[in-house]
Amino acid sequence: MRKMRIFRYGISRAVLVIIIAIAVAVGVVGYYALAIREQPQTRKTMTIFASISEMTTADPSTEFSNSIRWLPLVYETLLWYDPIKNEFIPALAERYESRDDGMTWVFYIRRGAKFHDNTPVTAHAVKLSIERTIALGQGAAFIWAPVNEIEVVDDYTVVFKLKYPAPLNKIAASGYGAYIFSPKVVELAGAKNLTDPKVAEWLNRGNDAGSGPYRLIKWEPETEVVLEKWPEWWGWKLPGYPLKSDKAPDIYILKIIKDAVTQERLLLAGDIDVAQYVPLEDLEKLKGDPKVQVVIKPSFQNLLMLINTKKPPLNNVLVRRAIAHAIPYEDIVKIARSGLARIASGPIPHGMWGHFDNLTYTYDLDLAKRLLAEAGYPNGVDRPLLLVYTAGDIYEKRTAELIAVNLAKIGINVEIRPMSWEEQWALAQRGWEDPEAVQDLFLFYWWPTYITPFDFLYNMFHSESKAFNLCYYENQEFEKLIMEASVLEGYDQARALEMYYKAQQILYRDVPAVPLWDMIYVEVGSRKVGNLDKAINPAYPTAVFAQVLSIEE
Amino acid sequence: MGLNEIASVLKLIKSNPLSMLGIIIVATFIVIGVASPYIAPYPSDAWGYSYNLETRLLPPSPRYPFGTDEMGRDLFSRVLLGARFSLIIAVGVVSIALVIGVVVGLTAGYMGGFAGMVLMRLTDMFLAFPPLLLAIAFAATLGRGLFNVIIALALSWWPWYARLVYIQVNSVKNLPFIDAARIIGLSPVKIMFKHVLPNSITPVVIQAALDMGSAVLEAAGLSFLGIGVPPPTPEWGLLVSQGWALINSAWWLSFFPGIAIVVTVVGFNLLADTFQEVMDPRLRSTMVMRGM
Repeated sequence: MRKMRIFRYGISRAVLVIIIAIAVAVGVVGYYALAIREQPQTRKTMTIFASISEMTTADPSTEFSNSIRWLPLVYETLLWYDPIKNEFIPALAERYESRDDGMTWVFYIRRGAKFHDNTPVTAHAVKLSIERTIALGQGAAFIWAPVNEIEVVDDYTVVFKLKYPAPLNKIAASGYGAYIFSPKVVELAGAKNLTDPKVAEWLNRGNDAGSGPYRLIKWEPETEVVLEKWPEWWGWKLPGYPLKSDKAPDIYILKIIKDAVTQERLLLAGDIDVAQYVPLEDLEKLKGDPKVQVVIKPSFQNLLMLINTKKPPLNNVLVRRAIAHAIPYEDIVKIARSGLARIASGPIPHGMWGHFDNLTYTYDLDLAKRLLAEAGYPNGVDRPLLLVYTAGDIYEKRTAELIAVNLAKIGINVEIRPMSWEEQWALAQRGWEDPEAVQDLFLFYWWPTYITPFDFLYNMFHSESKAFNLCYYENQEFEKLIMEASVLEGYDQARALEMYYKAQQILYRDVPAVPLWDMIYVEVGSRKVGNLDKAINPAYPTAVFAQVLSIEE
Repeated sequence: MGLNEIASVLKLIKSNPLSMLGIIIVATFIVIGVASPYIAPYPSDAWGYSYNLETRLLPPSPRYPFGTDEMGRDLFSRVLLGARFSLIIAVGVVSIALVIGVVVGLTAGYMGGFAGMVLMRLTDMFLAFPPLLLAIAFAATLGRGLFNVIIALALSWWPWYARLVYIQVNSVKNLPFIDAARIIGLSPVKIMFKHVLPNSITPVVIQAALDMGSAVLEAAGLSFLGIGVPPPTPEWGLLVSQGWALINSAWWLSFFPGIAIVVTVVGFNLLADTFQEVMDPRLRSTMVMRGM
C-alpha cells in the first residue's frame, strides 16, 4: 500500500508538470501566432471623449438633457442649423420650402437614406417620428406646438400645415425632440404602437433606431457609451457633403469623468482624446503643449442674475437698476471665466440672431448710489439679500462673490448661498405664490432648445412660463411684443427682429434680470484629432459631430 | 488635585517632548484663532470682502507666504482666519454635544427604569449610524452655515458622551457615599450633579479633548463635500476643496489649508494622549516611578 501511494504521487506530479509545461508552451506560441496573424489587419481608429456628466436617456423623442452628446451622431433630423453662418445644412431632408407666409412647409426626403435596421427613411417615418414626439408630450415636444397636421404626399415628400406661422426649418433642426427614427421599433420592441412604453424601454436598454453615421453599441449611461461607425450611412458616399470626413473615427467613446482636474490629467497622459471640461486657469499652459489643441467657440449659453421683482425692496425698479450698475461685468468675465466669456448685452447671447450690442449696463458705482438714494435708500438696504447659485459650479461661485463684494460698496449686503440644483429649483418655484419667502437673486444659466430669441424671452420673462420665469416678472406690453414677433419670425424676419429689439429694451429698463456673461466654450483635444473645431456647433451644445473628425495616425 | 500631583503632571509633560509639541500646537491654534482678524496681513482678503485682478494665482512669495487664490486674495490671511472658524466649530460642537450627552447619560444612568431605558435606546439609535454620515444628513437638512455645521456635528456626537456618562454613572451610583447622600434626603438632582457627575466626568473630559481635533476634521470634511459653511468663508475644508479645481496649476491653494488641518488635528491628538496619561492614575504612577 505504501509503495503504491508513493508511486501514484510520483506520477501525478510528473503529469502535472508536463501539463503545465504544455499549457505554457501552447499559450506562448498561440499568442505570437495570433499576434502575427492580426498584424496585417487595419487597426480601428478610436476617439475617446470625456463628458463631465452622465448620460440621461436614450429615447430620441423625449430626451432633453445630456444625451445630446451622442444623439446627433446616431439619429438625424431633417436639417442641421449652423447658427454662426445662419445656414441650414441638409440632413434627411435634401431641400425644403415654405409657402403661405410660413403656414405650410414642404420637406423633400433624401432618397437612399436608410435606418440602421436597413429599412428606408421615408416621409411616412418622418410623420410617425414627429407624431410620436408630439403624442408623448415630454422633453422638447413643445417645439412642435405650431404644427396642425403632417401630411405624407408621397414616399419622399412630407408637408407640415401649421396653426400659425413659425420658423419650422429652425424647429426641424432642433437638438432636442426633432430626431427621426425607424417605425420598425414597434416590431423590434414587441410593442403595440409607437407610444407604447415598451418602445421607450427598448430604446433605454441601449438599442437605437436611427439613421445616422454611428450606431449605439454599448449603453452604460453612468460610465460609458460606445458608438461604432455605420458604413452604410448615405453621407459617407455623398461627395462634398460638409458634415463628414474620410478619416472619421471607427469607434467613438463617451467616457463619463466627472472632474475637470482628472479630465486634464487623462488628456495629458493620452488616455482620452477630447476633454470637455478642464480648469480654465490651466489653458495657457495647455496651449503651449505641442501634444494638445485648444478649441474655443462661442456658445449660446449665458448666465443671468434673475431678480425677484415681487419682493421689497427689489419690487422697486430703481433698486434693480442700481444693482445692475453696481456689477463689475469686466472683472467678472476676467476672474470668473479667465476671460472665456463675453460681457452680456441683453438676454440674447452674442452671435445669435436677435442679439443687440447696446444693451450692456455700465459699471458705475456713483450712478448706482444715486439710483438707490432716489429709490429711498440713501444709506443702503436694511436687510441682506439672498443670492442663490448651484453648489459646485466654480464659475457661478466666483461670479456670486464678485457681485457680493461690489453690492456691499453701495450698501447692499448679500448673503451667498450655494444650493443643490433641486433645492434651488424647489425654493424658486414657490416664488409665484409667496415671493417674500424665496430668494432675492438667482444665478441662472439658459441655452435655447432651438435657436430663436423667443426661447430666451418667453421662458425667462413671460408670466405664463411659471417654471422658468423666476423673476416673477409680468409686463403685458412685453408679452404682446414677443408673442407677435414669434409668429412673424416664420415669414417676416425684419419686422420680428424689430419687435424683439423693442422687447429687450423694455427688459433693459425694467431690469427683471441682469444678463451677466455669454459663455465661450472650450474643448481641449489631442493633436491627432483633426477638425475638432468644425465638429462643434453651438446650436447643439456639448455635442461633438464625430463624423467630421479626422483622425491622424 | 493636590500641589504634589500638579507638580508630577508638569514633570510628566516636560519630560515628554510629544506632549510639549501638542500643547504648543494647540496653544498656537487658539491664539491664532482668537487674534487672526487683527494679525492677518490682509484682513479684507481674509474675510473675502475684496478681490484683485492683478494678483490672481501668484505662487508663494515673501509678500504672500502661501500665495494668492483665483480672486487675487492672500491665502495666508485666509488660512489664519480659518483657524478662528475651526476653533469656533471645535469648541461649539464639543460643548453642545457634551451638554446633551451629560444630561441624557446622567438622567438615564441615575434614574434608570423605563425613562432610562427609553433614553438609552434613543442613544443607541443614533449610535447605529456612522457619525459622519449622520452629520452629513443633518447638515444637508439644515442647510449651509457655521451655526448649522456646529448643530449637525453636535447632534451626531452627543450619543458617544451619553453612553460614556451612562456607564460611569452606573459604576458610581451604588457606592456608599451616594447612598449616604440619599439617606440624608438630598434631592435627586442635587445628588446627580453634586455627587455623581464629578465622580464620573473624567473619562468624558478626555474624550472631549480628543474630539476637538476630530471636530475640526469633520467640519472640514463637511465643507469639502459642499455642505458646510458657504463661501467666501475661509474655512479650511472649503479652501482645500476649492483649491482642488486648480490643483494642476496652483498647488498651494489646497496644500496650505490642508497642512493647517493636519497640524491642528495632530496637536489635539497629542494633547489628548497627554491628558490620558495624566488622568489615568496607574499609567501615571508607573511613568513617574520610572522617572519619565
